[in-house]
Amino acid sequence: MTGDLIVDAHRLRKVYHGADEVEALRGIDLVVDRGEMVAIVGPSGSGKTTLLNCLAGLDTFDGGQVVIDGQDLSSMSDRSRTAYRSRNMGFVFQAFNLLPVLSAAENVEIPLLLQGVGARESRRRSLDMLETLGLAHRANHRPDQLSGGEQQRVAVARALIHKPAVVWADEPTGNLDSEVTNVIVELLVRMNKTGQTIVLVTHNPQVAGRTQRTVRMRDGRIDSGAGLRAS
Amino acid sequence: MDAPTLILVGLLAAILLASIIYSSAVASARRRHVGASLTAIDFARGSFASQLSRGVPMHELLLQLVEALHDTFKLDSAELWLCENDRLALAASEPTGERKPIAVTPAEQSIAANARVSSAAWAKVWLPELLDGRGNPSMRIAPISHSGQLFGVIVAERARKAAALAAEADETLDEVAREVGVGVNKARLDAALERSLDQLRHQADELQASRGRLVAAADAERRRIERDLHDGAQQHLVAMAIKAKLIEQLTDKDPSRALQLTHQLQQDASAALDELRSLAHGIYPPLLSSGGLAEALPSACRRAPLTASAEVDGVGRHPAEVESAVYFCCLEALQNAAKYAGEGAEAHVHVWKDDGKLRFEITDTGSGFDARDTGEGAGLTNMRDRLGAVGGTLEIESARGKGTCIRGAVPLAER
Repeated sequence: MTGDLIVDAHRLRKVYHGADEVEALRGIDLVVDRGEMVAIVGPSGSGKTTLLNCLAGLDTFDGGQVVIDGQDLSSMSDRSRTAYRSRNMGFVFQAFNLLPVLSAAENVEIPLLLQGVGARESRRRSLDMLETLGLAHRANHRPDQLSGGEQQRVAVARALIHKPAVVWADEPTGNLDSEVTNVIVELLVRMNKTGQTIVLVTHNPQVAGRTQRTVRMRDGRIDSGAGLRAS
Repeated sequence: MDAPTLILVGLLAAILLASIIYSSAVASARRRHVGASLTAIDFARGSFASQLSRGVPMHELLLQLVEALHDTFKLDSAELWLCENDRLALAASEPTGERKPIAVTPAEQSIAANARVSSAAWAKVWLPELLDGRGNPSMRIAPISHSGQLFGVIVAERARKAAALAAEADETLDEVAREVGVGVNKARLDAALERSLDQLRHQADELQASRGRLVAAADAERRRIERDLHDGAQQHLVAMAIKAKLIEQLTDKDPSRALQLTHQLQQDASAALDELRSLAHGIYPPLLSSGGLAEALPSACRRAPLTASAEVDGVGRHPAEVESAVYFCCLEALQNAAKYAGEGAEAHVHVWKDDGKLRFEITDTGSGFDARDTGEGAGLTNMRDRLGAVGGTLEIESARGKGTCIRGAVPLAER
C-alpha cells in the first residue's frame, strides 16, 4: 500500500431507530488507498449498502469518523456535505437512476453543470466521455430508448465525467445479464487502471473477483479485508 | 441596337455564362467527392465478395481495400488488422508499415465486436495498445465482426489539423467493415470446410490402406494355416499311415514289433490331435465362442508367456467380430509385453463397458519405450487394423522405465 488514503473510516456506527433499534454498523474500521478498486460483499442485511451510503455522504451516521480525501465528513453540515458530494463523488446505482426526460448526453453533463462548467464545455466533455464508452451514437437518445447495458454505461459516464475522488457503485450489475455485466465490469476495471478509485457493493462473486480487494461484511461488522492504515 | 443596350446585353450574357461555369464546377466537384467515396463502398460491396469467391488471395484484396480507403478519405494511414488466436495482427496497411501484434482477451473481443465505429478515446479504454506510437491523430476505428465474433479492425488515421474525419467516413467505414466481416467469415468457413475435406480424404486413404492390409493379413493367415497343417498334423498323419502299413506287414512276422508300433501309432494320433487343437485355437478359440471374453481372456492370460492377470467386468456378450478383435488385440499386446517388457515384468488385462463402448487396457510393469524412438511395429499396426475394421481405436502410452499401457475402445451398436 502507498499509504495515500482516500477513504478512512474509524469506528463508524449507524443505528436505525424504529419500533426496534437496529445497529446496522457496529464500529467499522475501513481504509481505501487512492487508485484502489474495492468490492464490499456480504449476505443481505449485513450492512453493505448502509456502509457505502455513510462513506459516500449519502446518509448520516451516529458515531465514528469518515475522512474522504482529507475531508472529515462528520464535521460537515448537511449543506456542505451535499456540495462536497456533488463535487467529489461519482455514483452508479443498480437502478441506473438516469433522468428520463433528458438525453444521454444531457444526463452525463449534469455533474459538470452543477460545478459551474460552461454549457458548451460540458457538452463537449460529455460527448467525449460517451464516445470513450462506445456510446457516441446514442448521445441524443433518452434513457427509455436505450438498453439496460447502455443505460448503465451512461450512468458510469455520468459518475466519471467530473473526475471524482471516488466512484461509489451499489450493485452496478444487479439488473444486467451476464454478458452486459462483463462489459460494465471491464469498463470499471479499465477506469480503475487509469487511476480512478472505485468502491462497489456486489452480490456477484465474478464482479468481486475482478477487484483488487474484497471486504467481507457480516452483521454490521467487517469480517476481513478492512485494509491497513500506514501509521 | 444602340451602344448602352449592347453593353447591357453583353453584361447579362457574361453573368449568365459565369454562373453556368460556376454551377457546373460545383457539380463536378460534388460528383468527384461522391464518386470517390463510392469507390471504397463499391469495393467492399462488389469487388471484395466477388473477387474472394473468384479465388483472389485475401491478402491481395485487403491491400486493395486499404488503398481504396486511403485514397477515398485522403487518410495519412489506413490499416486493416485481423484477429486470430486472441491476437490482433496488422494484415494490410497503406502506406506499408509494420506494427507489433496485440494480445486481445475474449472479453475485449466481445466488447469490440459489438462496438460501433469509434474514436481514439474509445481505443484508449478498450484497445490501448492499438494507439502505441501514434501521437494524437484524428482516428476512426471500425470493428470487423460477424455474429458477435471479432475478426479484426479497420483503423483510419488523419493528422489532427484535417477536417473531422468522423462525419465523412463513419458511414462508409461501417459498411466496409460489415462487408469485410461477411467476406472473412466466408473465407474462414471455406477454410474449415477444406480442412474437414482433407481430413475425410486422409481417413478414406487410411481406410483403403487398412482394408488392403486386412486382405493381405487374411491371405498370410491362410498360408500359415496351410503350412502349419502341412508341417504338423499332416506329417503325423503321413507317419501314421506308414506305420499302419508296417503294422499290417509285421503282424505275422514280428508281433512284438507290431505291438510297439501300435503304441507309437497311438502317440502319433494324440500328437496330431494336439497339433490340430492348437491350430484351431489360433484361428478362433473355442472358449471365446462358448464363453465370451470373460472366459477366454483369463484362460489366455494363464497360457501367456509372462505372468498375466485378467479382469473382465461384466461386459456380457457381443458380436463375434467385436469379441475376436478385442481378444486378439489383448493377445498381441501380451505377446509384445512378453517380448519387450523384460525380465520379471507382469501384465494386467482389464476389459470393461463404458459410455456405449467396449474398452480394454493392457498394462505392463516392464521397461517401457519411447514411441518417438521406435515408431510403431507391425504388431501395433495389425492391432489398429483389427480394431479399425469394427470402428474401434487404439492408443499407446509408454515411457522409458514407466511400463506400457495399450488402450482400445470399440463402439457398441445400440440394441
